[in-house]
Amino acid sequence: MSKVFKLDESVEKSVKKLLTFLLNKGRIRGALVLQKTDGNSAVAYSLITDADALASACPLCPLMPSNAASVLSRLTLQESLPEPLAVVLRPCELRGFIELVKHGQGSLDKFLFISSVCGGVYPLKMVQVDGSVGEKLPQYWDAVKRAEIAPEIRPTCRACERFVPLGADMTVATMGESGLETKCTIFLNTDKAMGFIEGMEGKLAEEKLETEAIQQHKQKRKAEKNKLYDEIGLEKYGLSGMIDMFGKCIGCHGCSQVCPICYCEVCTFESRDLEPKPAEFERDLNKKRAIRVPPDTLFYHLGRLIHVAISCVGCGSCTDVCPVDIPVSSIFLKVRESVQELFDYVPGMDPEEAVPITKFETEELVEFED
Amino acid sequence: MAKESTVLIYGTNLGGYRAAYAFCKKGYKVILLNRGRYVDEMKNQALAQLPLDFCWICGHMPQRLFKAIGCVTDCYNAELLEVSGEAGHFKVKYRTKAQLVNNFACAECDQCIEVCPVRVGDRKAIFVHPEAAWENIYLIDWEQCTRCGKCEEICPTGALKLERSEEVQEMDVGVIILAPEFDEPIEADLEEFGLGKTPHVMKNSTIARKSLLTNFVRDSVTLPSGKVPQSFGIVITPHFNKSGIEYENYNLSVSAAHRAVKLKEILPEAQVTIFLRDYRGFGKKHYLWYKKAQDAGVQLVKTHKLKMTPQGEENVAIEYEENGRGGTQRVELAILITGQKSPALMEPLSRICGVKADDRGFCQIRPFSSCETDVDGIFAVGEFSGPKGNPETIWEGCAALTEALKYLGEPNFQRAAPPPLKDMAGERPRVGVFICSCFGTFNKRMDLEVLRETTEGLPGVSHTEIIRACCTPATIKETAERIKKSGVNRVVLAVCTPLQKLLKYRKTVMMAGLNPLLTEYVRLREDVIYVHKDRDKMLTKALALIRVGIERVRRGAQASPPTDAFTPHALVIGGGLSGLVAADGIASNGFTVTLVEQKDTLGGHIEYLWPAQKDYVWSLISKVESNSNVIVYKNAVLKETAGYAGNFKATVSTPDGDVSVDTGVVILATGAREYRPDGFLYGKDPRIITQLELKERLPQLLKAERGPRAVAMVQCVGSKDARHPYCSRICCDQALENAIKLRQKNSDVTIFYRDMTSYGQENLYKKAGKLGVKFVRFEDHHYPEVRKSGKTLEVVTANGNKQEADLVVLSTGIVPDIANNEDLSFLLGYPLDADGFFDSDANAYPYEEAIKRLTKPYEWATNCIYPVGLAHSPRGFDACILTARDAAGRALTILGKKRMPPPNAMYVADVKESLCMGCGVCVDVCAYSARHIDPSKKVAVVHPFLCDSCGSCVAICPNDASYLTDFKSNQPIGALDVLLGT
Repeated sequence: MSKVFKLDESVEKSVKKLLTFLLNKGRIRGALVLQKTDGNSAVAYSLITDADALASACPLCPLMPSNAASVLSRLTLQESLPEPLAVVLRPCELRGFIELVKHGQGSLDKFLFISSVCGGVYPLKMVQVDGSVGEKLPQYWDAVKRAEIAPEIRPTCRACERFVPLGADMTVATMGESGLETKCTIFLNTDKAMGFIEGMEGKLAEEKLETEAIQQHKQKRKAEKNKLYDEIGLEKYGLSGMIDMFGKCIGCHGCSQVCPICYCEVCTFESRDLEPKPAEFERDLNKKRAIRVPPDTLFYHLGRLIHVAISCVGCGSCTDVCPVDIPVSSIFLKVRESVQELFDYVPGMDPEEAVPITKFETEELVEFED
Repeated sequence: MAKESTVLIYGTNLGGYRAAYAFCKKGYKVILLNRGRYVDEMKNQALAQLPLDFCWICGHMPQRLFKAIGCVTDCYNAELLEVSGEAGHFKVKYRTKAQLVNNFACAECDQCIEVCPVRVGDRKAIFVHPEAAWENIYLIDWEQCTRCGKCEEICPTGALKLERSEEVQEMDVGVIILAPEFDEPIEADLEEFGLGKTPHVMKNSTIARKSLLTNFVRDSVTLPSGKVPQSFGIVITPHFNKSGIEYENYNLSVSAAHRAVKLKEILPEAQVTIFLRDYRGFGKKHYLWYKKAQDAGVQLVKTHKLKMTPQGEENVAIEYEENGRGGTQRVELAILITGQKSPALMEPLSRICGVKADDRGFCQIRPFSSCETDVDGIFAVGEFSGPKGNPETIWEGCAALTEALKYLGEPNFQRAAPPPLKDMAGERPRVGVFICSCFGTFNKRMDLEVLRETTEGLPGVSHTEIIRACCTPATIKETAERIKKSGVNRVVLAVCTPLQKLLKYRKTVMMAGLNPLLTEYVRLREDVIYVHKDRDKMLTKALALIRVGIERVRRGAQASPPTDAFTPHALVIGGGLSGLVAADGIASNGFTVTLVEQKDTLGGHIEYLWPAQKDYVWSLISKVESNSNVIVYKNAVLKETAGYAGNFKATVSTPDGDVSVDTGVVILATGAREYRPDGFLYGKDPRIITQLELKERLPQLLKAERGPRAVAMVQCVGSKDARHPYCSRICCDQALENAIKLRQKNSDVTIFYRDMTSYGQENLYKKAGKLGVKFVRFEDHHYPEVRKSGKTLEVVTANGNKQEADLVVLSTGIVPDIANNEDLSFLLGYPLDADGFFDSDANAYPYEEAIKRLTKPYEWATNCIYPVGLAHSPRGFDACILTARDAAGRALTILGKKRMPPPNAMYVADVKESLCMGCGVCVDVCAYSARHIDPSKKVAVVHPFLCDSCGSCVAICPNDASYLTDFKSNQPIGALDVLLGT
């Protein structure tokens, strides 16, 4: 059983109320939340210091315009926050940020992380092309209430088993909560969270986070994941399959731009170092008589896969932005799962746990006799 | 009158080589007298005995390469004739005759062999020494040679001269170092064992040499009949030989165990027995070989008597006596592990220089010195001054520097500055391929002109040329000029092999103004000409290798070796014997020292020493304390350290507050302590004491009318067991000394022992036996029990024999102060070995680990941190002093340098800042703490002085920002591409 805070408003309103309270009390300097853009046609992350600005906020909107992990990394790369900041973000974004912090790309200091049990998000294209997300919201929350997988959410989200946040100070319960239009339950996971809500109107109680509904939902997601694996059929790929799948790539490198784990400012694949020299074209042409230009498309994706696999949090941003619909995230999902299992590692779970590639096991250090 | 500065070294043992190296580094000219016709014709200890089947030649290669710099004058066929004068002003007269083929000028083109008209079996009258593997040594069979002179005519470098005249030289030198080589027992010395009479008896070194050259271990033990023996007896001979013929140095027990284990490896069914008197594993890790042999199923027979009789053509019978019971074993091959004879040169050298021999015929060293003889200014190093371990023979080289500097004048050698290098950054690569013809010999094997023409058209190549050579002074200069003239900025040299001649090739390109990182050396001889017969294949392979070279240099980038100032100061931690000796060695040679002692007095465990030793330590304390170069902090400990070799910053906490010490080197002399036994009723009865307690009580006991009636001593208490799997080296000596003193007072002394491992004190063992000290051996872990019945003490052996005793003395070993050592290990980043002593790697067990550290100068090998004395390993008084003087010597060779390049020069990792995100994974994986993240720039920074070029950072960096200067990732990829593409 864990401590919870109960409010008598819808989940979205309750979160806004909470943020308003924190801002007005001066407990936080600002909040980072999703907000509708001016024309109401899209959402974007915004930094807010004025509670009035929360009017157009939609903290739990099922869209991920950019991975908050990268945003938070940029905020704290040079130095940690001077004053507390509340952030409403999805579980994968939080795991992504913790992973980045482990790689020295930010700091966790002074953050108040508010996350929710995630029902998944819609593809970005939906909001860009037809702006139809607003219309879909009722059926989305209806599915969440019934602990079903909402129709039309991204394949990556359908297959995601880590929809319960790790490392959040507060967790908004959604999955299987029948009264979420009128009531809200917020889990207070840390002492810090207790301190922040002190004096706020509402009820303190004790409840269990991982309900039966959540357990069942996990099974559904797992089944979806296996279905996805079957569809992609990575095992049968081989080199030709890979070339075929990534052959569509136009080399925009959007996937690496949006990937929270691809934290390098200038990717080596975009630097001069890997640029082929004229003589190399010459040599390859002599050998093969025909080569694709620019070369090394598959090399780029495999390189990224190797570097990202251990830390990939499965946020799906890469698939979301791909202009030619390569299921990048689905392929990465399968590979990262086996790599992470191999090292018994869950990225973004524990800020104190070292990334496996940076530590030596004692038995690895034993020198050979003679 | 100014003191002379030149040093004369007579002999070529490893100590002599090391001394030559140290003096050269320090800036003194050295004359090296080699009695042989070529390098190592007179074999040093390691080469003669080949312990662990390892010749160790690569281990002292750096000191040989040092000759090339020009401060060593090598004299071959040399003999010392006269010495006169005194320390600092010796006049020496010696005879020398140049080598038939001057090693350093010879290009190894083999033309002399080709033109020689005289065939002798499968070789010519001029031939290459078949057993000296690392450099080709040309010899002439004078009996067959017709003096036709064709070889001299054809020699392209003039290295070969048939007539060499003998010269007699007179020189003024400051000090003389005697380093004569190892005297192996000859056949006549081993006739007791049937050597030479039957093929069933062989010397271990013969087997080792055979397998060393051929790598066919099985062949090396095969009998002339072609049969592979199935039963082996390995005999450690010195103790079973007639007295005075040979002495045991410290390789033998380990050699025997090693040989046995190797035999078991290739012939698992064979019966292998080691016959020995005591297992004497003296060094670090040596005792582990005993366990290894047992685990491998080798039988060990410890006996006091042994007789070997050949049994016709079949086998050899070995008779022995074990635990009072006799036995005989027939073996098909008996392998003799032989010892060392006292040096034959002792007599002539004492006549010429006045040095004296000790009672066994080895050169006598004055008390409390590590290598100075009875004559001022004349030193003896290595196996010449007594049987010892290989590490000790080498340590004496640097110890000689510490002790001899006071007799020498100002340094008289300055190394020439390296040629200036041109800045080629930003230039488009223009590769020049220079193909060595080895004075026209390669032309005969393959078509170099075709190779050159094919190379000409390759991308990036702007110049190709066939050169004569680049390995003799003239051709190095000539090739350098050609490179300059061609205007290229990258060079591929297709040559014989950089394995031997790397420095020469590097010199060639540097003389042409090129950074060595912009050059590649392709092995045209070793990888092509020597291994292929088919001319087309040769051409294909040569071309492929050259193309690899081209691709690598095209992607190479220049870098210069960073240098850093070197702090001319030493920090000595620990003010016991070893710390004092080290501090004195450095301070009295003109450098400042900070000595940190955690107690309030200097001297360490002074209470345990003999009176003369005490006096020595007292004198050392007053010498150190009165030396203005030394600052002593008592009641002080090391609190923090930062920095790296050459520039450590230490914080010492003293009673008057923290003191900051900037130092170039750190000497760890933290000592160790006596093992306190549990069991044996120790602490339960005042009559049960340790050897050290006895030593303290001894003056009183000896003053009494008569000593205790019966004394029982138990050896190896807390030693050679699972917790302390090593021999402490000193307990047997202590027991013997105490036993002799008590016996002289008519006490009955019985020593219960596993192995008597008296370290270099064989005569003590004999003396004790003669005086009537009783020795009772017990099996490895069957220790006798100490019982108390009523008032009497009893020692009961495993088989039930009882012995009453008035005094029971437990011989306990040395154990490291683990907590303290661990603290220091953490502070200094210096690892401990499995036993808890400081792991000094290359120095502790050179034959096993030397290769790892081969390419680094010795004084850098442990990053300017030198553990000495008991912090290093358990050892006795003199041996502690030796390690301290060795460390002081190594420190002295570099302390005076103004600036130093890092140990790996420019061959280190670097970071491309534009690609680095400062994520720090490379910092996590760096095992050498050589990296950190620059907090303001957020990029990784490499410290070249700490980097060991391992490449972990390169492998881990997700963005290719980290690279090795000589191995950028696109270099090998480019090389692989061309190999796979052709």
